[in-house]
Amino acid sequence: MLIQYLTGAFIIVLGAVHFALLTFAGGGYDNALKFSTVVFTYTAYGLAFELLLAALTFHVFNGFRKVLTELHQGRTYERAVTWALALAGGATFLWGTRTVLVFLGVIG
Amino acid sequence: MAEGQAVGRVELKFDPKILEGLGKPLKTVTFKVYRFDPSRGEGVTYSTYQVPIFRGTTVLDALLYIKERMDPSLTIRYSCRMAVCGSCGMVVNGKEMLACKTQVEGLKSDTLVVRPMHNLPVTRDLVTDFDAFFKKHRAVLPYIIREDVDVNIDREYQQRPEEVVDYLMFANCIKCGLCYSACPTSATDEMFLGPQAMSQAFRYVADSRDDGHRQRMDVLDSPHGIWNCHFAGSCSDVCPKGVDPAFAIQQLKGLLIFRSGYLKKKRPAPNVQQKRELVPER
Amino acid sequence: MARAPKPTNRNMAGVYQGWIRFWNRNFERWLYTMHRVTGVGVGIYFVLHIWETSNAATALQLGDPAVWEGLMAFLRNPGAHAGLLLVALAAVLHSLNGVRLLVSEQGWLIGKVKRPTYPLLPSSLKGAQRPLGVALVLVSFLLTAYAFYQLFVVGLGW
Repeated sequence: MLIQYLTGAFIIVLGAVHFALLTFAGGGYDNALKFSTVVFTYTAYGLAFELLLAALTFHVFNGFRKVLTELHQGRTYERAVTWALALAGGATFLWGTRTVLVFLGVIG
Repeated sequence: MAEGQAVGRVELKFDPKILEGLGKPLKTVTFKVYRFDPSRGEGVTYSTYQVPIFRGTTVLDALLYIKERMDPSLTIRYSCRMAVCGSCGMVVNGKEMLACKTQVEGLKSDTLVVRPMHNLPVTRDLVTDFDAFFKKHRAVLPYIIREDVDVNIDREYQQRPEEVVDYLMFANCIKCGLCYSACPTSATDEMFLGPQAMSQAFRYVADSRDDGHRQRMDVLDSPHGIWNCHFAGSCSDVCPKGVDPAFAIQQLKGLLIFRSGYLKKKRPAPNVQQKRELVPER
Repeated sequence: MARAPKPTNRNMAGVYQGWIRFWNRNFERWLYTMHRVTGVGVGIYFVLHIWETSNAATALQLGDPAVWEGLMAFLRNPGAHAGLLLVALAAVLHSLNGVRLLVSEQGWLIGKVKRPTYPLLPSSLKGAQRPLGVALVLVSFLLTAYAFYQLFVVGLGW
């Protein structure tokens, strides 16, 4: 639960950074989504995105797990839900990391 | 439906003069009451009654009126009729309340839907089975725990008036179950401890005479324990004795995470024998 | 002593009565429902967003900006931006209420213990966390208004 709080706080800070980059970097929202701006932002702030991804993946999938285990109880059900969400979370995290690594030039 | 007509097997007649001592009825309120009888295997139905309401009529008065003059098969649980025993908890028009404490006039409605409290199995009509509720209460070890409890049984423990205030409002819990019924987590999670058990855990943790917070924290810091509370606050909203379980639970969370909060380093209160010099000589 | 027969009516309040039906109850109950709904909503958006932004990496890998620009052009319409606005509202509400929960679940801003006197009103529902809750909802709507400006006026040229 402590991790849920900490990742939440982390997400607010890094999310604000992400939002600020989107709104103000590159001269406004309409420019922010141009391919050249996107490439520049990701290469410069790749690490920040990666940290935001890690925090968000944990917070989101742990949140889903809480909602689902409150809906129904039982040892098999809870274990199944935890594993399914851990796998889904892992997949999401890996796919997002792939995006960051491509931009940082590590894979590609 | 005329007064005196029964829903059920018995025809009742009474002399209307009996009612004269109550004054003039202010209005007639329609009561739709939840009926469930497991021995009949029919499922849940709602019976409708027209009840005259006088000045000061409580929901309990109205239900007893129905039971005495219309339908003796209506099953309710009540005892003290003054909000100290915690027997008559029920849900009226969607909100939990003690039937003996709630004035029908105060509800400002001409139709009242009365159903038993949520999240506890229904034994019959408005009566619920409190077994699971008490089991969870016992699970948080609701008694003073300290190492020297067998050693000094003939001496009282010291406690200053300020230390009593620390836990007094939580000690007022009458175990009526209204908070457990109102809690959104208890609505779907049968294994959740419930606001009553957790507020009583806090009542003992906050008591300066107690030294058992470690054992209780282990019970609370478990799956389906304290972390499934999300501070919806409805428990405190419906509590008839102002116990404020939401407050207790958030304080416990603070203690669990950072071991801080308004209870700093605790020591169990010494007993009078150990601190004889503080007892005034007569 | 005879025991009552084993009950057959579990009588759980369920999702509608327990999670959804907040209108007849206290303000914090509304914040609870809202926190849950926005959390699930933003969570689903998050997964979709990770897929969406991975197209930019694909565009870089293939050396073809059109993969990305095409997707952006496809999404540059009032419907998609309205969806994004809802996501923005949900994210802000969830974040700010999360801060409120973080604070009050440490035992702060929830009033004080006091000797019980009539009327027996709960102090946690009168503590500073309630005006904080009202304030955060208002701030969320203000920030969403700003998001509307960015999404529609700047983004779509309204």
